[in-house]
Amino acid sequence: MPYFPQLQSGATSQFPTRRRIEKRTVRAESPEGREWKAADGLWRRVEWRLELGGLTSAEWAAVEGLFHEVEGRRGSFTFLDPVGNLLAWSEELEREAWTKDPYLEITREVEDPWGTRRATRLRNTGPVPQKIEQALGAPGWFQYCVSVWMRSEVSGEATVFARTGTAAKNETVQVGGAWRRIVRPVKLTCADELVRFGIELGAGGEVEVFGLQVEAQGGASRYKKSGSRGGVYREARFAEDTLAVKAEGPECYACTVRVVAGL
Amino acid sequence: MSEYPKLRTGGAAQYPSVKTIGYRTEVLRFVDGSEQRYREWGGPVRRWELRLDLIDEEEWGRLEQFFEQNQGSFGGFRFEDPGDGTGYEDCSFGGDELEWELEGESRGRTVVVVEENRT
Repeated sequence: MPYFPQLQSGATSQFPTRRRIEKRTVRAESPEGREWKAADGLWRRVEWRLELGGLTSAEWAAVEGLFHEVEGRRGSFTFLDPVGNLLAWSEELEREAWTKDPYLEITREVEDPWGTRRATRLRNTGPVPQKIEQALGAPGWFQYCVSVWMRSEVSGEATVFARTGTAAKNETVQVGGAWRRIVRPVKLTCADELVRFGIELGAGGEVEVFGLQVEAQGGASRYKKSGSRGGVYREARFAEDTLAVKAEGPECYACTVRVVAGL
Repeated sequence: MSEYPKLRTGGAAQYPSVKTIGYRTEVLRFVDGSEQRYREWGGPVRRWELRLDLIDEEEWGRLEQFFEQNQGSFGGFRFEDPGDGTGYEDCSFGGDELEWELEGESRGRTVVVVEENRT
């Protein structure tokens, strides 16, 4: 499966980046001037406009290579939303997008660092480590950044992890009574196309978590709440059949790329 | 009916903000030069163009979620006129597209069009 490449910085895009959502509504006007609407509920399209500058020849070659591989608008590729949270249901950990071990107890509507009640309490009631994770159909070798706020009434530790079938990064963090944002860049060495991100608690462990976020870049940006749709788009396409590059100097290229994806 | 989301400041709009009030009138002109006019819509229709600068990811997230919930221009919601605070009970997004430009971390901008529904 082809992927939209990451730049050498580990990110997919640069500022400014545009993201547009499109829906579809049918409108009809009756003779007395009333307007009737019907929503095409299943139709949704997202378009990104990436303005890439200062590209090295290797970075440009990767973008150009993908464009040739999918033959312009014809073929599809996987695109990781550069301005979104890759995880789905970032605040609803009991949803089907998440896989949790049986002894892990989830309590919702716990007070979060912003004073609202959007955090979740995780409690391991079993005698062995228990985890909650979400699998993303994304390249295991990409640069990611996992971030999450944590605290615990009973000080303890939790493990933030990224795992594929052949590689893993586990980082155990000390969790105290105050909210703290844990930010962990992850870059695995593997060729797997499924990455699982999650949190593991030892026997009897208890933590409160908020703002789980995974981004395909080296650092964490501000937290973005996600719903049913995470930021991995497996059927993305180029929006145009042409791709122009501007050589601004030796080893310095610029291009504008438009990518579209449906549901 | 749901309510249009507020920004962090508690407001819904920033300057400059444009409000348009529109009627639709049909004019029939007869051969003798006289005219008959009648209205096509039941009343005035208001439209607000909200230009939002320096909005952060949380504000954008709320706006995007609200747009999705309303399925673009399909759904109706209550909108409070940012100019005079009058509440309009049945409004919708003016189009089926919502674009966000991120110029930097927490420096997003967008233009939202809200219009009153003709019922």
